[in-house]
Amino acid sequence: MKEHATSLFFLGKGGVGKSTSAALFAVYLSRQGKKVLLTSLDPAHNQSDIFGTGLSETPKQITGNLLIKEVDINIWVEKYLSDVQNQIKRTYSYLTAFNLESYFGIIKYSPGIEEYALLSAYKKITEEYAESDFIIFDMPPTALTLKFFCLPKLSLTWLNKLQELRNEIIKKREIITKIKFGNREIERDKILNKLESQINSYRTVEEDFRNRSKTKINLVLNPDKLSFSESKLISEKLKECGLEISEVILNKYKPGFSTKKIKQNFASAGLKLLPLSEEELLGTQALTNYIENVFPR
Amino acid sequence: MKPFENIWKKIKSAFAYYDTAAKEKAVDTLEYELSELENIFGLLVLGSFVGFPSPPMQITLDLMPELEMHLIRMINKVDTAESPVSDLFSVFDIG
Repeated sequence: MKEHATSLFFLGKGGVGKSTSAALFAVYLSRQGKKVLLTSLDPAHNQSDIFGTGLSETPKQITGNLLIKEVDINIWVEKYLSDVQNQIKRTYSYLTAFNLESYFGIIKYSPGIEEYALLSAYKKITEEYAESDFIIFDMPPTALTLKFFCLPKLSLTWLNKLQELRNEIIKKREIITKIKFGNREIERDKILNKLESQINSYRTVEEDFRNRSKTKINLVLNPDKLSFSESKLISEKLKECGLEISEVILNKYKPGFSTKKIKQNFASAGLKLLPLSEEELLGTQALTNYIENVFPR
Repeated sequence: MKPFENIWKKIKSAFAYYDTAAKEKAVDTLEYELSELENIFGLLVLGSFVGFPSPPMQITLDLMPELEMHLIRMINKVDTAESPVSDLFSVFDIG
């Protein structure tokens, strides 16, 4: 049994062809005999148009080795909030829980909830499809993608500080118990338990993101100035979160275009060229034809 | 021997009384400190409820089922928020 699948992320400026590149790689790898799951995390959901078939949360088999699914962020947000609300109803007194009802109605619009829903979807999918060879993620627009990748680091910064404060509180409580009741054993702090479990979970995701054998971040760009500038920005922001681009994919490449500047700016990443297609890349057959032309067996 | 025993018992109970009183006094101050620390923890985690910078929302939401007392404490603190000095004086039993 395989221990884990390799996650391939496709990100880049809007319109550069992230979804098409992800679809091409998915078809290419599945034709190599690899078990592939293509997942769209982009709320725009272009994969159903590219493959010309309706897609949903339930994976659809396109070829023998290729499954595709589209993640509905709203379902994840609703599910997560209703879980928390049920837990609160179980632990709070009726009045406090009742007063929070209206607050939960607007929490789904809070900043941060969308990227957390994406991260939860990512964790669930990588666990469920660990036996696949590749899980390909078609990512949402740049802002949300960067928040998604930086969420573990940001959360860990907060969680470590909260853990420090919690330990100080526990220490003080132990002193009080000792003075009052002697060496009586005190119950383990539930808040500290929750903090530790969150810390472990984010550490695992952070390590997975940084492990280049588990995670490959593919940056898609076009041979134009705008997408190049945004790609540089994406690369810098990812570096701030301790992440590196694995491959730069130059989509809509035209022979004669100099790749020197790209190689200089993304020196640590590999470069793959996807030549401009003369026909629209819609449907499994069109994708397969393109692959056969560009990467003949 | 009986009168001595009685006196000894009384001395012991007097010391026990002072010991309890001293412990109570020490614990009172520590408990106030603890309550302040819990309040700071509550404000940090539930800051978004009162307009403070707060951690990513999912951290707050994950901890919320365990934070009922923090929420209540935070709301009660509003009553004494405008007179922190009198709050402190009452802890040290001044005035």
